[in-house]
Amino acid sequence: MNVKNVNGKNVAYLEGEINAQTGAQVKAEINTLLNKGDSVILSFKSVVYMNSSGLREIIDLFKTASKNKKEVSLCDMNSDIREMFSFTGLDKVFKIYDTEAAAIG
Amino acid sequence: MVELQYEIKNGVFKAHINPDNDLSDISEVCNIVEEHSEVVLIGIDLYKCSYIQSKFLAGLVAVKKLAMVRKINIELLNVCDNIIQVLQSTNLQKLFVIKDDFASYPLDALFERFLDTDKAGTVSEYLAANYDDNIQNKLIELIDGGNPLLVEYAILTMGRAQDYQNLEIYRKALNANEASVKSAAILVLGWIGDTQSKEQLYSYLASKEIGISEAAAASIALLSDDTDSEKLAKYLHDSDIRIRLVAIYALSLINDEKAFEYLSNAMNEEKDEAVRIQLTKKIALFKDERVGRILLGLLDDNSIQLREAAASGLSRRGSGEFTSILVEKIGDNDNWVGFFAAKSLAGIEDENIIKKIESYYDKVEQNVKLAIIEVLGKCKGVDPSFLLSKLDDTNEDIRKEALNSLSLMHGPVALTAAIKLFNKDESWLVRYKAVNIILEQKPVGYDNLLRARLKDETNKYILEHIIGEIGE
Repeated sequence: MNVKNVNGKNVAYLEGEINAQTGAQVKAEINTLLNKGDSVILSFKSVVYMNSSGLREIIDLFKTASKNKKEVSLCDMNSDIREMFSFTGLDKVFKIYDTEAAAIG
Repeated sequence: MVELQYEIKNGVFKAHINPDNDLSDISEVCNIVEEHSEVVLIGIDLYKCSYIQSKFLAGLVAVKKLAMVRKINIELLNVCDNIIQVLQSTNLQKLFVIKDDFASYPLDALFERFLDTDKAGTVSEYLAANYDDNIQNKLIELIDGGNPLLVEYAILTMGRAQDYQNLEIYRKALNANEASVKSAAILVLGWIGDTQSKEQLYSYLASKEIGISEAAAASIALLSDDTDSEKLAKYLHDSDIRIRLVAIYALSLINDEKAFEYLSNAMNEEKDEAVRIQLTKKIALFKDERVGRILLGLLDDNSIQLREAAASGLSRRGSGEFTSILVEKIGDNDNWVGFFAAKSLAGIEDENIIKKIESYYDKVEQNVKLAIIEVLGKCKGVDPSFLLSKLDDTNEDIRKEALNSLSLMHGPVALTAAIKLFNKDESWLVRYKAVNIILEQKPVGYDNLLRARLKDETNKYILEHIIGEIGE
């Protein structure tokens, strides 16, 4: 996972497959990142697969972030991953932007 | 007279307009903004206003002018329908971004908005983002009140806010009479990970009520463990197509080895076209090495839509070891096989394979030609000369697709072509695409170029498009 600071905002570029194992790694890395900043944008541009276990890790990450008044937003999802969020209603929980530019604002 | 109320925070100037504010107050907005160079956004909050005087409108235009000079944005906040009508009738609406700003609302007024299905979602989002004990208590009051619409959004808001303290409220709502409330509770229990409710959720999988089986399938997937694929697989044989579809969704979300076995077996047995298409789409989401072979076989299916789903799945995962077979299939006697084979080859980078794809162009039907041009826009290292040669084709669809593919892979070449075509191609579809490319790339002087076109362009869609972007 690469992290870049774009216009003062941390953007984490997730890659490949998000499952229980990789999701847990992402969660740990993003939590570390959120210890130093107030918000992070997760870019799903290079995510090829995701399953419910991976989704649970992202929810868990969001839960910790919300508790600490930090913001996690998501962007650049392909239609399949976007559908996972809408099917589970999680598009109501997360702030999801079509593009990285829109997420940065 | 009432003094102008305003605040400046993090570069945002926000004026809270009172009905008794007059022109001098709105003029004061300009003075204050001019004094504060840090202001990057002006918000004019009209929450308390149910009407607007014409003088005040003139003042708003003055603020807009200032914003343009300063190159900052201006937003009109909480504008009621009456004022929107005035802005529309005076043609001023397009000058302003109009949006809601719930920070101006008292809590009770916000909860009333749960009754407005257009606003309920955004209000819920706002409340979740600002969740505190006060909001939590008010939401519990709403749930106790029993109005189904309010209860639904109260539960969704608590779920959005990740409120784990009120698990019993959500569990109780699973037994509500109203489907909307039940559905909200099912989703929230999935979001917060309440595995204890999972067995009860299974009882809703075959529900006939709208949205219930879908919500149950989604939450079961979120709460799943190693045993759930097997339990869900039984629903792949349900007589109700809707239930089979939600089981497919849930299994694809679980995405484990067992789920793949069940879905690929169902593909062999399923007869309904819509369900088979969903199976194809969802099987394509698995990483299993057998996926490519299954999708390749489906390119010859009787259903055109299923072939499209298979081609899209192949294109998404990369044609990989099947590339040479797919290239050969471009020339298949069944032109739809050729069409979808070509579409599945997106992402190819090998120059020799690209040349082979191009070599089929003169031997195939029109639909396959279009697919070849389309896929070349998604391959890397394509020589633009092939696509450029298609800009003179007699078929407008070919010219438009070629222009589109050029724009995807060769920005500067596409821009040169677009500048040539946007005012001379006889097809408005091609001209529209050309205008789009010019607007996307915004070369120096693009606005004057397009403005000059306004006097000769006859197509209303192109005129509206240009005017919408650069004004008259």
